[in-house]
Amino acid sequence: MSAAAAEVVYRWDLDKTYLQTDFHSVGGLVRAAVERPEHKRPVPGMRALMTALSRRRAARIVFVSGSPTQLRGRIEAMFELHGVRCDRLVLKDFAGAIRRGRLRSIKAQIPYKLRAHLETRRWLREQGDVAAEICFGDDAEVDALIYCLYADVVARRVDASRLRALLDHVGAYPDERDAILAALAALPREEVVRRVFIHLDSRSPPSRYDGYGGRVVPTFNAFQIVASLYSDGLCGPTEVRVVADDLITAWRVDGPGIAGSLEDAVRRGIVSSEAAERLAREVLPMGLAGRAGFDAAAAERLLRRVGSMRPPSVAADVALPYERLVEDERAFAAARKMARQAAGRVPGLRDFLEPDAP
Amino acid sequence: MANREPTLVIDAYGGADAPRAVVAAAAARSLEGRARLVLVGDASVLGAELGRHGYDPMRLRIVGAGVPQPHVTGDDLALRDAARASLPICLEMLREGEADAMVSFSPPELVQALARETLAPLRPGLQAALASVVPTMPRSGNEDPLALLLDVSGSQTQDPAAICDWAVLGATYARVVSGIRQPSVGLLATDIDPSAGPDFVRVAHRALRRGPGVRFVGNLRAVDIPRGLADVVVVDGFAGFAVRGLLEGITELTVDAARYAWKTRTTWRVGLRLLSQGVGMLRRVSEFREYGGAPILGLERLVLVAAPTSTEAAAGNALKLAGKCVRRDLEGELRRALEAGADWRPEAATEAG
Repeated sequence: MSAAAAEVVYRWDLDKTYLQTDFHSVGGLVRAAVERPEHKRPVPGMRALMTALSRRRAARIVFVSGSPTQLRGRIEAMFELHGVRCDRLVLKDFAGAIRRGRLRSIKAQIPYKLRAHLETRRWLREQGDVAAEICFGDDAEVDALIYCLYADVVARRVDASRLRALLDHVGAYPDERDAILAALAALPREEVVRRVFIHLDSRSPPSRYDGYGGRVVPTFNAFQIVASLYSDGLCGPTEVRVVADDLITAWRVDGPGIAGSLEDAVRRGIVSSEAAERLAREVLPMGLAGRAGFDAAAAERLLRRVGSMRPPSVAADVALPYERLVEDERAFAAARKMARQAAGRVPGLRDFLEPDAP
Repeated sequence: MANREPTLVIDAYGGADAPRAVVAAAAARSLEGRARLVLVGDASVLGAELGRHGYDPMRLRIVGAGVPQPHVTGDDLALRDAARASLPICLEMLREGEADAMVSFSPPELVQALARETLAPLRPGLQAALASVVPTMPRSGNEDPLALLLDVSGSQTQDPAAICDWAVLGATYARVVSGIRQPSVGLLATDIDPSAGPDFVRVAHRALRRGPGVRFVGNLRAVDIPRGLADVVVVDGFAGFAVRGLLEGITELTVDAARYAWKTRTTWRVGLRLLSQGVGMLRRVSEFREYGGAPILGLERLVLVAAPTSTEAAAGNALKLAGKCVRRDLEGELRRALEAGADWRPEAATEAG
């Protein structure tokens, strides 16, 4: 870790954000637990993104994961193998929760992660780091909700009494709730989160995050993240090229794939058309993307299309209706579970004779 | 062209509940990673609709056609105007090689007319045909409950040379796409007697009987089509259109009757349960409407005309079918088959006959 104060803090989730993990099946869970560090696979482009970002300027990298503490050794070994710096790694104490008979804690994400975020923020301040944070999560659980809640409670847009009620609503244990409130009280009021990137690993529709405001940026791949960071002035062209090159060399992505991702990002308003123009004319055709099909002619075709796009307006950051968002996320999870079950079901006689039945 | 990831351009103005079903199907297909898809239509509406689905932006993009999405479905003037904006864009992409195949949910006759104007035929003078699947009984060597019927375009062309070309095109399609090793080809006529029927049918019969490369099984009556007497049935466009519509209507009527019985009386419902095997057969037959679309065979690029009433499942099947045709190099196979069959066209048959 460098002695200089950080200019930026990157706060990462681990499973499905940085690492490819399958925790919807028993086999996947077992594999995640016993897999050797050298066999763990990052999400395409994420390793290149993280190393590029951490090299660029003084940065702190914090991981808060729902993986059990028993995996600490394997995860740290994996970071070393990947060449990824990790300044702090917070893992979940499953064994402690089981010992204390707290079965709700095993599954609940909001109390655990909110407390971990607040406590790591306090740790960062103790190191002298007060930089704003860029957060990275995924769509498997409720990362967007937790990161936004973290941002809003530290900024005091959500006060302690509302937070207390919300934690009760999501089933936090009383001492867990009190620890969260104490961790919050130890922090000064500040705007702590600048951006929340949600990697759509489970292929959620981007509209799932419409209610979270402009701070949350749903992305389909690492290239869209780095292009959005570039558009916001949070990284330079080198980082964009490094991620694009990694996707092309290590993950068999081609130039049209990169172009399609950029076009989609402009259309959804997460990359400005000016930034897209700079990337398409000055950055990408000069790198491997140019040789993989994103040449000057392809860039001009893309720019003609994005020139006519009217990206949606981005909502300003305001305190979010968390009580409603919690319910929306529960409904979304239930609908997704039903869809998974329906996908595996063979249609029967009734489906044919009653096509409109629910 | 074979074994590579095809690019499919989709005219997205039409389709049931447009553009919801088409966009949902395209989004799902993009996640399978077997094709690149380009949706052409009202960019803002398509973008908003796409936001409601998971998709892969590396394989799915939107091209604006500059006309607002009509707030109606089906065969309607506003939809025709929108299709007149999107179809030229799609067809231009095909002609320029930016896409390998096109799927359209717009009014079929409009798609056919513009496709024939824009795209060159596979061979100079070749008349392209619209091919459609129709339900049949399973037949030996082919368990598929579908046969291919062409031409079903509604055109009044009664040209024996064209019918012979369609036999080659249909048999090649059945071999390449449906995987039938030696498809049988029948000619729709008024009787199985080769001397019966109008002149163009008699001339076509003689040419097909002599023609190498096509396993011709003779004339068929309309009643023989659902009996599964041939894998491919060739017919002039007007009669084909009528036969296809009639088979679809009868299937719809039968399914509606079963559904009416199911919801009307408990005893009838019990009866249907007892007849579940038979109802299962009915279901298999009725699924031909979800097959995916009717290919226009004989143009330089594949155009699939999907029904404007296509559901999400049918739209998805249309995209799957288009991808399969490109991966199996249907276009190249059709070209080669036409070249091989060039010397047995009906001019020679007429002279001989």
